[in-house]
Amino acid sequence: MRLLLILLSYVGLRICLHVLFPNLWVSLSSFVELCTPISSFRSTKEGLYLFNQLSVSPYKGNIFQQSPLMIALFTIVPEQLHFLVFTFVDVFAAYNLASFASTNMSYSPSVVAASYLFNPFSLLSSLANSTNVIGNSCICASLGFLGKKKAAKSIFFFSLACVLMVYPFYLSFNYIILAAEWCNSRWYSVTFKFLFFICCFFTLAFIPFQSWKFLNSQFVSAIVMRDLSRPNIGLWWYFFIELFSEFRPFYTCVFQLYLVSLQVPLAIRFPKQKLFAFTLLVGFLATFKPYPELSDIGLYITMLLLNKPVFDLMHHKVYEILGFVYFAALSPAFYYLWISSGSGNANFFYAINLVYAATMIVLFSDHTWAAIRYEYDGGKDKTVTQI
Amino acid sequence: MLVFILFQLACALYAENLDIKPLSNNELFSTFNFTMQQAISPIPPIEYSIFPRSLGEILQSTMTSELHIRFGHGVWDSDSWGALPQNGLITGGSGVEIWAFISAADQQHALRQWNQLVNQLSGYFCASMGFADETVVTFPSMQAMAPRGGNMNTILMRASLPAEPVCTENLTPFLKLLPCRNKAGLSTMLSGNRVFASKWQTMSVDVFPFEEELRLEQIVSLVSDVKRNFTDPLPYPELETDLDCDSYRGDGACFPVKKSEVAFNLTTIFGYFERDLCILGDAKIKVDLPVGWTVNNDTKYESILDETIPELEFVSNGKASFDNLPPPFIVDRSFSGYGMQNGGVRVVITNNRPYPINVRYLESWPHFVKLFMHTLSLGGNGTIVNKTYLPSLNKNSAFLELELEIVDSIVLEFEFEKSLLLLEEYPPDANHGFEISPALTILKDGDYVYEDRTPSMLLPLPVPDFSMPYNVVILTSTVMGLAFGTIYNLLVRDVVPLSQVPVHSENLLQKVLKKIK
Amino acid sequence: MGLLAILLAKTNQGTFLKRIVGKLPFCSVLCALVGLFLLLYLPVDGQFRKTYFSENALLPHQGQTFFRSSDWVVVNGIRDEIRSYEENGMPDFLKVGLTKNIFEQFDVKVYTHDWSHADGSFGGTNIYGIVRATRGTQNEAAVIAAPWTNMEGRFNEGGVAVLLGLARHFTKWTMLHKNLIFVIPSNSEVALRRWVDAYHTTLQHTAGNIEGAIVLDYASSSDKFQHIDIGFEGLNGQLPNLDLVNTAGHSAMSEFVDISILGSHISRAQSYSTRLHTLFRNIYQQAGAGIVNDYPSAMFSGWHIDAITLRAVEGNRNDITAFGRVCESTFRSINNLLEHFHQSFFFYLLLSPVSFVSIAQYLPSAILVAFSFSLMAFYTVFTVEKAAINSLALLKAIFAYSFLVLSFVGFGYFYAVENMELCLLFLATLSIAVIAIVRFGSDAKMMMRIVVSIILGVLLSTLATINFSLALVLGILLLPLAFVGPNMHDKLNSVLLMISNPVVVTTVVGGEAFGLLPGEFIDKMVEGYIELNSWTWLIVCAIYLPAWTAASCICI
Repeated sequence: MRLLLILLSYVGLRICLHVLFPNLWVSLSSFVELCTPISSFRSTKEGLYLFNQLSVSPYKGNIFQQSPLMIALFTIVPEQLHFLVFTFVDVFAAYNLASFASTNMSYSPSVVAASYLFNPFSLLSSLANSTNVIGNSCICASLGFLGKKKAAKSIFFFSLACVLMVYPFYLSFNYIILAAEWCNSRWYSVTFKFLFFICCFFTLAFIPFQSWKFLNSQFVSAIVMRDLSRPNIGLWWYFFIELFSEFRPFYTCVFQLYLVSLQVPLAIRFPKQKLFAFTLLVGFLATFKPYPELSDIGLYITMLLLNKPVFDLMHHKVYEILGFVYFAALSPAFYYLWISSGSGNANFFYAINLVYAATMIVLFSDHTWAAIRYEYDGGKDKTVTQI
Repeated sequence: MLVFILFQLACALYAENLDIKPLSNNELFSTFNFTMQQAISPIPPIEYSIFPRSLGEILQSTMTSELHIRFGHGVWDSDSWGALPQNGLITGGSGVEIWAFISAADQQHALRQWNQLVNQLSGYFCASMGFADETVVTFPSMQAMAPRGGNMNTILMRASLPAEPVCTENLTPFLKLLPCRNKAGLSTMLSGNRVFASKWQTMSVDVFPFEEELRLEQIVSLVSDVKRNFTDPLPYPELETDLDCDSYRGDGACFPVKKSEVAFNLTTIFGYFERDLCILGDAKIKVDLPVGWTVNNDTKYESILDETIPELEFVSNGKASFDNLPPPFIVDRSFSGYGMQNGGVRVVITNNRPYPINVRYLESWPHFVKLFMHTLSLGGNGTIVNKTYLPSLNKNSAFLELELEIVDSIVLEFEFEKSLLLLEEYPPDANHGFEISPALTILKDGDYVYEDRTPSMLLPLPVPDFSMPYNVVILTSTVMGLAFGTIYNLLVRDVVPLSQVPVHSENLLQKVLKKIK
Repeated sequence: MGLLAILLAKTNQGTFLKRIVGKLPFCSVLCALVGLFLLLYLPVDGQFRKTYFSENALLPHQGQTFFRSSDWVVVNGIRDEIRSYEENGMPDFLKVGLTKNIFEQFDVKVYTHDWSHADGSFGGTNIYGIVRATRGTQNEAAVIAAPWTNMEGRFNEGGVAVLLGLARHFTKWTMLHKNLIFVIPSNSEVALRRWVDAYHTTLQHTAGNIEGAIVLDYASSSDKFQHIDIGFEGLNGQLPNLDLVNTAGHSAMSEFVDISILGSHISRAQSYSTRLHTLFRNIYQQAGAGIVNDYPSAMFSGWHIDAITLRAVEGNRNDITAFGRVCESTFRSINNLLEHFHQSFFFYLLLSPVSFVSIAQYLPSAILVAFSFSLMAFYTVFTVEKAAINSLALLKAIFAYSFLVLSFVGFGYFYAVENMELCLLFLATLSIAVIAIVRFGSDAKMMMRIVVSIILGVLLSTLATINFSLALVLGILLLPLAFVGPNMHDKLNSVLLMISNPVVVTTVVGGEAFGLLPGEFIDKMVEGYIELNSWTWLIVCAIYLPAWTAASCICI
């Protein structure tokens, strides 16, 4: 009942905001924390315009770097109802997270749903119409169906997330073993279904433009970080802008290896806490991928609540919250000083990127230590402290 | 020998023309037109006499059937000076503009030949035309810019370099193309000092086939400020006695009024020049005067020169009236918005004709300007008949060609986003900004063609800190190493309670310390 | 992190933490006082730096200045003419037409711009003339402006005359790289602001990006002036590049004209007290920007334009052409620039025309004042009972405070744009929030106290990086709120709340600092937001009012 109330109030809020400020998303999408070049709705609209009005393939330009399925989706939905897509997607994600929460040791479903919907990071990202939220909600949906032990539907949504956003591929190993454990199926059956759905979605993506160009424009661009036109809250952009171009291939490989390298060790170290491994990887990727956004962090924070015992064992939450508050205040201020006011320079904004990464490091180590502590005795002995 | 030369000359044609016309506000408009025409035999070797051999060979080797180069500097003031000279067909926007019609199989081959062409031309004209590579080149439609020779089997390619400075080092090789160089004929009147101290100046080179012959037209147009030539190049204050005041103020207060009568001659404007004529062709001077002016005490002057270039004395009585034909349309382009992230463009095209006109509007934008064509909006009285938009791919320029029908005046607006570039892609003066090439508007009304170019615009881009490569690498690597190290530590180490920590055996040092205590 | 956990464990074990916690209120007051003391310590010898040029291309006053001898005669003639317009009480349209004529006499292309107030009523007509550069690509410009009335409302006859004299002078120049725009706006505030806004949006005849602007203010009818006062403060905490201010100062001193900064003491007579006075004038001007007494160059803020005002102070030392020469020399340095001003400081406080402090020296003051709020938040966290700290209370406090802030911002915004229905709507939501907070349980009230202190700390430190003076002033005015709480003495609470009461503050600050009644003060802030785009009003609504309201609600 409370869950229904929360979902309805969110829908009501979105509709009110759309009626009062129909162009709010345009102003919000100019915030670099909320929108990146590969998930900006302005690029999607430009891609739609190129395809529908001018009959030029959107991949003939540099602006559109998303999946062809986005073009298909937003062509089918009429223009005035585009905001409803994002509302529906959010509500779907919250509903799935809530259904996962009701079947496991987590906070109550309404708390989890409210945390996903009204979390300022995810809410603002969704109001800015960042297409990442669609991918994130597919991940939530796959988790929801895992909770209901429906393997095929879960893998369907996870592979959709992989095709829409590129980075869930880096979660696939841990997801497969998580799904195998939760749905009581063998890992090769899960892998086979996953690869089957991926092939289906790639074929589906081929159909709108009758070309495989999207693999280059979407996947290779996201991995190699071809588009360095806007800063974001991550560490890659300034690094690759300032780097001499001879070293680019080397450092791209190093950074990608960095992202890939955490999957297997986490799986080996925490064989009994597969959900924790998956959650930590979501957060890790959300911080260190080339085009991070606040919606990814919003998802990670909500997923922390899905694991109540471990969450209760985290001791440094205050510092993390304060870190986020200072980050949320200073990041737009320093970006404004650099770009709009012209009084500051790029180092101001870069410093806040580093502060944000440091806050996330504290969060990761806190989370991991909580998992280790839980593994030791389930958190029963209150006198145990870390030395 | 003389017969041979004369025979050669009979197959070639060279003509020099100078048109002079005073404009309002003490400005003088002069156009120097040098035309060379030469029969071209279809079988090589081609005998070049008047036509410069080097230029002909460049065109032959790159299979260019037509070449047009424009050097421009300054802004044409349509309010005071009326329509552009020769309907804008000889003027260029600021910087260098080149367009050529190249015979090639497809765009890839044409680009290769184009690169060869501009690299050779850049050495030829001492202008860095080599920068007009595939990132700057656009392919406009033939309806917008038709070839003068009529050969439609070619590929049209156009590039504009608005940041190129145009100065004496471009004028000298330009004049070297002439048969008499700058040693004899009307070209001796062109000296770098005077040409580039003008308010507006343009140099154009057109090579095109004309009635089965190859024609080269070189035109230098300039608008000189007469007043400046009377004073010192340095702006010293005038003597009090030289001031023109209205008479009813007291001592020590002079309300200045415009000097009415003006008298000057060609040497005042162009400086000292040799008076010999070029024997290889005819030179003609034509002076077009408004009412109230006299040249050599006559109301007009037009004659083919013989022997020397005469001195022309101009006198105006200060009440001269000018009837300059207004241009058929006026284009104003400017940026709207502020800040280093988002921006907008606003183009206002005003129709001066009493009936609707059909114009083509061409623009090219570099790759770091991310245009959002879905925000294109049209206000005012007009419609977009046709739209061609090629977005920028990788580092190429975006190209926009609109065919507009304008009744009264229209306002075109669209938005864009500015992007960051890699450190190496910024020029040394990164905080100056980047030049956006002028927009070209073409009106075709039957046989009447009018071209207008807007001034170039300066786009400031956000810049990273250029002193930071090392610092950024080490700081980012430190943070990533910190993350990795923390998680690695937690993953790899065994976590046991303190009571279960195995006791280490003492090493030598501890044994010694124990003994000492 | 292991290190953090070890540190926390060690501090939790001993009594070290408990002893510190007891002293935290004292530490907090000490922190704020240290911040203020640091500010007072800045003018001491050795704490500030002499100004220097960072941009090599400027070459300040390296070229000879030519605006002299017969130009004096011309300026006198023009001033005579302009004085006759004012003396004959000419209507504005006639004045504009005649001034256009003057520009045309000098062969300068002239255009007009009609501007209107934010509510649509007609404001006036600005005139501007463009002298095109002969060199360069001609898509950069510099502006020289002289409003008809200066910032004190006096007739700016000398400024307009020098501007017209300079317009005539610059048409003789062959070395212009930047187009020159000569602007005569109808007044020195809204008209100039409208012109700058229109230039970047709808104005048809423009001359490229504006790289620098100089505003001339010479309001006396005498031929001579004492010294030049340079004004540089912009709106919303923006300042022009220090290089531009130094260029003007250096040019003036090379022409043997004394300079002063923001109306304080001239360059030659400097001591600790004069520097302190100038420091406070900097803070006063920056915090009060958009309210009253704005220098006209502040109207160029927000468009990446560095602008300064040259004001001639009445006296008998230098003649009017020296004023023109200072402007000419400063413009010549702007002309020399290839890149936009970027080398020197954008964040500075000038203690005298030749000494300054940069952000690293003055920012700690504001940050310490903001930090004292955080210290009081820590104090509350450590002294309240453990049972009171629960997530539900925290969530209620955060939710209520955000609702309060949004209501105040909405109320402030719609009050400013005079949309009374929505204003009343937000007033209603405000009252709901207030009632809710008053009815909170004691644990939620303690959480509210913590939330308010932390949010104030965060917002004031962020504001300090953008607008240092406003953050400092707001921090000092709000400091009593840090010590207010449901567990404090009632008498102490009421005294502190009275001191920081918005009505009291408006009366005191408005009266003492700006000479305005409270109603006028608020009107001026609102007008600054609507007409000039100054955000002071919204910042006050977002930071000051919600904090005070929440603090007073939790004490009930």
